Amino acid sequence: MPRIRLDHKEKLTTPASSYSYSAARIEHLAEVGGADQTLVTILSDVSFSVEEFKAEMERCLRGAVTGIQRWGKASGRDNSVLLRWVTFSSEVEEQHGFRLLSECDPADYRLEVGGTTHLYEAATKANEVTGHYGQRLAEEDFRVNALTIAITDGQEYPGTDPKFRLAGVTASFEALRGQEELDSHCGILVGVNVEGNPGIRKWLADFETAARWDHMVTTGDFGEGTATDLADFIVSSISSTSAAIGSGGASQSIPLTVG
Amino acid sequence: MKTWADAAFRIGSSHEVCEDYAMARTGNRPAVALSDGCSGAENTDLGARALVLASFQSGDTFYGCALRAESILTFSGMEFKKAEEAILATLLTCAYGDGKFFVKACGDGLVGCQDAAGWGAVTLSPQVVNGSERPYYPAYLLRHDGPRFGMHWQPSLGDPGPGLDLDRPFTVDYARQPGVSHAFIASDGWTTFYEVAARKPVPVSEVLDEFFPFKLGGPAFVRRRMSAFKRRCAKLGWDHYDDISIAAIRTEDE
Repeated sequence: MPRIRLDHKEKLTTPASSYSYSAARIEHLAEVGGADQTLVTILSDVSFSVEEFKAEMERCLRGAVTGIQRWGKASGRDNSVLLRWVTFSSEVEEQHGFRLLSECDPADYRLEVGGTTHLYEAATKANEVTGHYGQRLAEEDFRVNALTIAITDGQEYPGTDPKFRLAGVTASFEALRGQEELDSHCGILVGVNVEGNPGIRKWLADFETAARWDHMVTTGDFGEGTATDLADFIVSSISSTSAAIGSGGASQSIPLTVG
Repeated sequence: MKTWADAAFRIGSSHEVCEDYAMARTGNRPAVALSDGCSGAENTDLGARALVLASFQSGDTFYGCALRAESILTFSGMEFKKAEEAILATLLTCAYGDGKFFVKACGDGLVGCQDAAGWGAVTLSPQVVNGSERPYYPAYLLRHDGPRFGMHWQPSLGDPGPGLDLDRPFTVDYARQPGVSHAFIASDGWTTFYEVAARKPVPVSEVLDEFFPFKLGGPAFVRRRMSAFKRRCAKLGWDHYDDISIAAIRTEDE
């Protein structure tokens, strides 16, 4: 007899800019437990320059997902974290919407690289989507906080849409922080493979300041050790954000130690 | 029929230790219980917890619950006299079975239900007769020379909902009428809300209007509501002197 798989996700659209995304049905979240939810969005750069360390980046993402699943089970908070994964290059694509950790499969984290870097568009959309879904959860009494981690090796390559400029990213962060339904929101900008490139590093530092990311961390050459360290950093950031819910503040910044 | 049971409690602004306790049991026979310790009695926070635990172990009678709670505390090393004092606390329970909510209350508090139209509740004040105005605690049932109880109902909070039977002491039965989705029990701390800035009391009906309704089901449906209500209170500038607790059973037609 075939097993019937219940569809626990729904397609949604943000009212402000009509960005489409998918997310776990709130009725499903209520039934599986957890009065709190931490909305985590990982934005992965898949522009052509990522090709040289694609395998390590995939290893990093899989390691992070495996690590956070392990943490979720050990802490009993596996039904209180929702993970969304978005890749960006010339296109911003949702690989999967907000889903419970148990519904994430590390094997799914494969990168197809190519194109330019539309980081502004990815960040702007991610913030608006987080705000919208956070509001929906809060309306159903969930306590919600959020974390956005953008991993990139390069600077913005502006697209043609005037909506996606630096000012738009800044405004989207401000809107999210001003949203009272969210306990807190933390944005972390991760620059990989940039330690040896002062120009890119400076651009990222300026972007961090201007767009008001909460933290920025950078790494050097993206080897196996860096992938492991970055995966650990992502796990620590998610677990501390989840633990901080209800405290009224964002999680504490965790230093990224490479090598 | 799907059922959920959940409970939540929160310390009041005038307390250093939360003397309310509430617990839920899910499964085929969902049940919830809560207890509000008497502030004047030593270790009443422990007594409240013991009474709630006892109600899940020996829940048939309040006498049995009081006896069991006293045993829990004395077996844990508390002197008998202290255990006797510690269990000076209320006990309210609610269970669901055979299409009915069974609510029992010994001591003061609130009992009510939610249907599609909203909430309805009554305040319960089973009090000591001819004595000071103190609630009738289950602990008194263990005393041969203990005070006699009397009942004092105040069904003025709102429409208590369909199927309410107030005839028998300590027992309030709700037949689950069509549309009635929840039955709840709550401590008397809900009557102690005040506006922080003006130091002005907030009527309990206004407090409950802000608290209700319960929204989605699930194992944390009361805790979620309590958490959202806390945020709402902060916005309204409300706080509560006494500890508050609430426990509820939700039924859903599948």
